[in-house]
Amino acid sequence: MESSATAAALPSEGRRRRPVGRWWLRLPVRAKGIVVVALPLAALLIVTTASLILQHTEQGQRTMTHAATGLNTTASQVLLDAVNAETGVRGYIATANPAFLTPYLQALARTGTDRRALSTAAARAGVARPARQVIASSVTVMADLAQLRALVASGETAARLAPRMLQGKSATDVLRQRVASLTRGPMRLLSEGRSSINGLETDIDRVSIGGLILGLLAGVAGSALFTTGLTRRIAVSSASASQLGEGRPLPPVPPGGDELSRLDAALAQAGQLLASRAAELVTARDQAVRANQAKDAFLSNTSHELRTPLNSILGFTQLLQLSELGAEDQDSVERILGAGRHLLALINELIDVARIESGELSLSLEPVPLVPLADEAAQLLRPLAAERTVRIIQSCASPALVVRADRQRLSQVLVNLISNAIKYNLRGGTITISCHATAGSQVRLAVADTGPGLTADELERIFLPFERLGAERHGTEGTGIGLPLARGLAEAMGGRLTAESTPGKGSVFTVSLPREEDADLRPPAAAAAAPAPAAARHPGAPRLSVLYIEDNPASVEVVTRYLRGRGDARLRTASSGQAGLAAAVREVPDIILLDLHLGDLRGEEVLRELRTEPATAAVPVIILSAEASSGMIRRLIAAGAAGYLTKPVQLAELGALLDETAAARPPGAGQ
Amino acid sequence: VSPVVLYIEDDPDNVRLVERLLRRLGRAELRTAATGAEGVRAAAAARPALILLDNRLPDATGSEVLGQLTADPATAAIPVVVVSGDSGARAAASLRAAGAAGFLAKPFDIREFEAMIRGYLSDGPPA
Repeated sequence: MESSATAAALPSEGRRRRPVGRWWLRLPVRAKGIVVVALPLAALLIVTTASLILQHTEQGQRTMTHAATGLNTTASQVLLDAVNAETGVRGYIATANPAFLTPYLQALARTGTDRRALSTAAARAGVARPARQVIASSVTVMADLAQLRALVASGETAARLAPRMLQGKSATDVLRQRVASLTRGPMRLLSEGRSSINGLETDIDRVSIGGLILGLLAGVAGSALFTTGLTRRIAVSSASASQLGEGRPLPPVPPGGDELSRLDAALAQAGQLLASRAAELVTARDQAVRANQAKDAFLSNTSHELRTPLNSILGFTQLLQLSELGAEDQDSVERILGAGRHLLALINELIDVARIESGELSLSLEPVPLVPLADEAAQLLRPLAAERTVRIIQSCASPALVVRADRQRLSQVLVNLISNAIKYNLRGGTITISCHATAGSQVRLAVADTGPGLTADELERIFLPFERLGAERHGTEGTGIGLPLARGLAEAMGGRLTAESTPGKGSVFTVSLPREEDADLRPPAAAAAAPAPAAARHPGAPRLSVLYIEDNPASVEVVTRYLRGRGDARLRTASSGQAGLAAAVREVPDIILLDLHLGDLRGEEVLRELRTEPATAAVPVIILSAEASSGMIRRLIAAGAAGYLTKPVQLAELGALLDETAAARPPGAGQ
Repeated sequence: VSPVVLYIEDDPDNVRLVERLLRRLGRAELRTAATGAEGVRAAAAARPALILLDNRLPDATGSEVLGQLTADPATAAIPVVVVSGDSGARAAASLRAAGAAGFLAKPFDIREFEAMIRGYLSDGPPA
């Protein structure tokens, strides 16, 4: 519901996106980065350019101002020289005292320099012509003054010189006017330039501050666009990735063409793939579970449907056998019985084969000494062997040879192999049963015959169902699935069944099974290390039946040795969850030790089954596991576990738990 | 008065066989029921000394019938031997766990059957 709501919301958001937004989304991340850096850079560039142009203008203005100032100063100096010279000459005229000539002489001495300065300044200010007029006026004034001085020196009186002095004054006035007209323009320019410079300075300040703000804003906006846009989308992608990790469905991908969009698209694709795979797995698992249940039900049904009429056939035939019958009828009845029993054996073996194939065969693996097993089998089959004048030699004699197997099933395998050897032996032949340990921790149990032997091709076929080699020739009876079943059973017990043969000499069938170390021969360190495990501690204590569901042989070994040393407990072990459940229901032990990691079922599942199964609901279950998180322990206790031991198991703790269980057991319970 | 044995079984041939075997023994009177429901009713009415129960009935499984029999105080104490064509160890184990007194696999040997009946009818299961 939630995801479909998100799905509905997203496309509308996509439709709301403006063209710029779409363009931005399609832009590759690198281009986005460039855009983001370019924004403040462009702002900076604009500001710098504007500032440079303004500064250049200001510089021009300043140069012009300088020129005007220079012109003004030099022109004023030329005028001042003329005025000073005039003043000096007038004093000389009035007094005829040469001392009054000093200002004139000084002005005369410097006026050439001042004129040149004016000329230079005027050239710089672009007003050369009016300056030349000023200089010409200055020359006229100075020449007039020189004549006046000469006249005074020649003895002319002041009164006679008055008209000439008037003439000189008018020349000075012309000079004054020309200087004024020369400097008027530059002076105006000067004041204009000053105000222009002030204005430009204000502009430069404004542009700098504005540019700074614009650059900052562009930088901030660009970074914000980049980071918020990208980080928000990265956050979305990251959320998608973790959703993917949890196997939840992903929202649809927003449109876009950059790397992040492609990442989102890839994530979405992975999500879809994962979802479809998960769906397939669920379907496959359900199918497998259903198929397994169906197979189990089919086997049970088949078994029932075949045995029920067979019960009538065999039952009524047995009744007939008990009645008064003629010899021929008696023979007929026996033939019916023989055929019925053959049919029953066939059904039993077929159902066993089917159970092995579907993994439904329940085994109770325990230490099985081989010598008594071989003795029993030989004993059982000697009458049949004698009928065919075949001799059985039982040479397996080492009491130390103990294997891990289901006793009944191993016996079935051995009986199967011996009866096969009898059936296919020659008259007067022998069968030798032998056993030995291998270099690895295996034990081999071999049945050798002196029959006609098998070719390599035949050796391959004998383990196929209904390949009754030579049965036609020998008229041998048998179900045709004895050997395939024996091999299946050996393998189900963790062993192997192999055959070797020399045509004309005989065949050897060998069962290899994992060896069970004999504690009596080698006292195990683990048991010795356990606190006072001796029987003395539990004299006459009630025997406690313990079921250990564990697939790790090393763990089984430790507990086996400890319990053997303890002496008051009987241990059953099961190497898979299914086998454990079957054994628990069959045996109803006093206590169950349960490993959490089994090959077929999770320990928690086994625990749940044990709790719901009425027969075992009351049996305390102790979890043994290396996985010791407190959450896990709480969950298991809540699910009905009576206790929890961490691996490696502290044998003292295990002992204390067993003592508690034994004490809590109702008197008379168990055996 | 001879004790009553109730046989809950839907296969008529098997019913006839057990009938003849019991007649041969001459120790018990046989009542039969062809369905689980009928069997539970008959058990409550006839209070048999022993119930033989087929594991697969048209209307119920053996363990379902067993559950109903043990739930009713009137029939809870009656020993029930499941006669089943399903020889699986798991089936046998779960039936025993559900309260079955014994388990007899079909096809059974008639001598084995007679020994079992004698055992139950002389107060207690066979040794």
